[in-house]
Amino acid sequence: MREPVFDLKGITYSYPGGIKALDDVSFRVSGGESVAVLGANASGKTTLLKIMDGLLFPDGGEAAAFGHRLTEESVEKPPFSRMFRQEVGFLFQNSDAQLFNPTVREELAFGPYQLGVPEDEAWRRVDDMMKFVEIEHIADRPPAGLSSGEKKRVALACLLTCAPSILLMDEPTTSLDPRTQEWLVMILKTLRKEGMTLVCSTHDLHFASLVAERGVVLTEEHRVASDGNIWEILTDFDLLKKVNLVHEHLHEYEEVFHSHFHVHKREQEPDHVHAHGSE
Amino acid sequence: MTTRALPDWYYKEQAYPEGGEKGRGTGFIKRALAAFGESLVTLLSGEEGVPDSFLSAISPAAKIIGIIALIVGVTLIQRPLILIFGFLITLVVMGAARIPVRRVVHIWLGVPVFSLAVILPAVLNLFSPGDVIIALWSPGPGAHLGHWNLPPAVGVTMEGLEVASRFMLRVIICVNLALLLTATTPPVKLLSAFRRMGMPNAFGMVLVMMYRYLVLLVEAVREIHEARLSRPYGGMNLRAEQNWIAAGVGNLFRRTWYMGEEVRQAMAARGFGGDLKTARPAVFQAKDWTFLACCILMIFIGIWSGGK
Repeated sequence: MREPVFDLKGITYSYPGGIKALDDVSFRVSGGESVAVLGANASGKTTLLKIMDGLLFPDGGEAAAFGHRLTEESVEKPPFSRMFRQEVGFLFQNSDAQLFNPTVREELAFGPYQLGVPEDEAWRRVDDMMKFVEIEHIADRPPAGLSSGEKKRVALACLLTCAPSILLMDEPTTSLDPRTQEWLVMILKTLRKEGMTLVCSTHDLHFASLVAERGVVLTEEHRVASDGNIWEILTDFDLLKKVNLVHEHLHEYEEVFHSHFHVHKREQEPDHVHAHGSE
Repeated sequence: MTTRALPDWYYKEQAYPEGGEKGRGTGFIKRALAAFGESLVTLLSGEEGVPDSFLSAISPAAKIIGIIALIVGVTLIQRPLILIFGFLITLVVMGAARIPVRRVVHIWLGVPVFSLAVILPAVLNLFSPGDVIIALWSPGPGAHLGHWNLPPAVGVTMEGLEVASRFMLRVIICVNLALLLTATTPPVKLLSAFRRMGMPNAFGMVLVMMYRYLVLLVEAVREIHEARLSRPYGGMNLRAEQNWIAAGVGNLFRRTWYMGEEVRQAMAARGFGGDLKTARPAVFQAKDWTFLACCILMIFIGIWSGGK
């Protein structure tokens, strides 16, 4: 069995005003796994990922990474803090929050510089990653002027220059056009083949089916409803309906409506088809 | 009888409110936001084109050093003739750097007017004595204004004109030099250059981030305003408009606070622990050294020929 890199036990979290975000959430992530955290809007996906990245700290329960408990002190204290920040990259849903340097090139260099990577090595990484995510043509442009797709590429590249072994991604497909989504899927598949651990929050089931092997489903009451093989989850219509992850497709035929649940089948299957479930 | 899905009032003929667009203040806010937003976003996003020229190829750090040195040098030149010569040189360089005439005129129209307002009193013998060459008013001997004794003839003095012309020439040359720097260097590269030249890390980063997120702030303001415009509304009186602006400010504060928190988290997630490490210092190439040598030579010639 692979070594767990994240171990969450009974995590609860509330925002000021008593707004509950997570309630008794427990699961483990092993090295090399690809996990989709699935849930409807406001189910606590973003909060969960931020707790895993040591950006928020739970009110109750325990979050650990690489065998170390994640606390305000531990994520700021070397040598663990340096190792943790180098090994774990966080892709924000809002790329603008992540891109604060004057040019794309400097944005990519920011992480390595903070982690104390030698200068020549840092700039070599910048050049390599610009090539890898195909952003060489925008190297000297300011991030503010980029399109959503370009911002997402830059945001991903500036994580990869830190050479992380784990990527936490918060709703990575938000505001991406189909071509950029396809590009993102291909990049994530490549990273997965290279042994990287991927954890992404999403309610895009099609995307989840393409990049994840395992799913953790959050309910609208902020609890874990299911944790298992992604395809078993994606074909469990009762579960998906209960947690508000599938909707009914309506079809009109001679003024009569017919409805069914709908989810996309994973790409690895021989034929890329839609799977339908009857009510 | 068919049951209607929406409330009854929805199906009644609606009365369209009048006014609004012409209401007090609304038009001003709309125009001001549109113009301010457009120009600021263009400027801050750094997407405004910089014409290709010999100056745009020079390292921003070298340009900053050279042009600041030239500005200091100009303040040491006394002879108006040399200042006029210096002014003509800046015009030639601006032409060679392909700076649009419209941009130059736009700057010239603003700065000299302000400078004139500052220097105008020095031209008159009300504040500094001198030989009157153009008499404007003759209050006669012994005239006074309250406790202030007036000269027999108030007018423009030769000494005043010399001071004013020297001042105006220096101002316009400095404006031209500053324009040579900003019009041939994208703002983001200027900021990077300042950081690479040893600007204190924390100050540099705050400046960079302020610059970066001002774009988002302006866009957020514009979104709030456009969202308001997209909803039908009638004549909005001043009070209602003030309420709307106050609500918008509150909304904006909430958004910026949230964004600020996310930026802090994003920095922490990439290893920032309070001690900012920045990019490598600027490295000059031969063309940059040549540019700096030219600047120093011009300063030397200017001071040698035009100093006291």
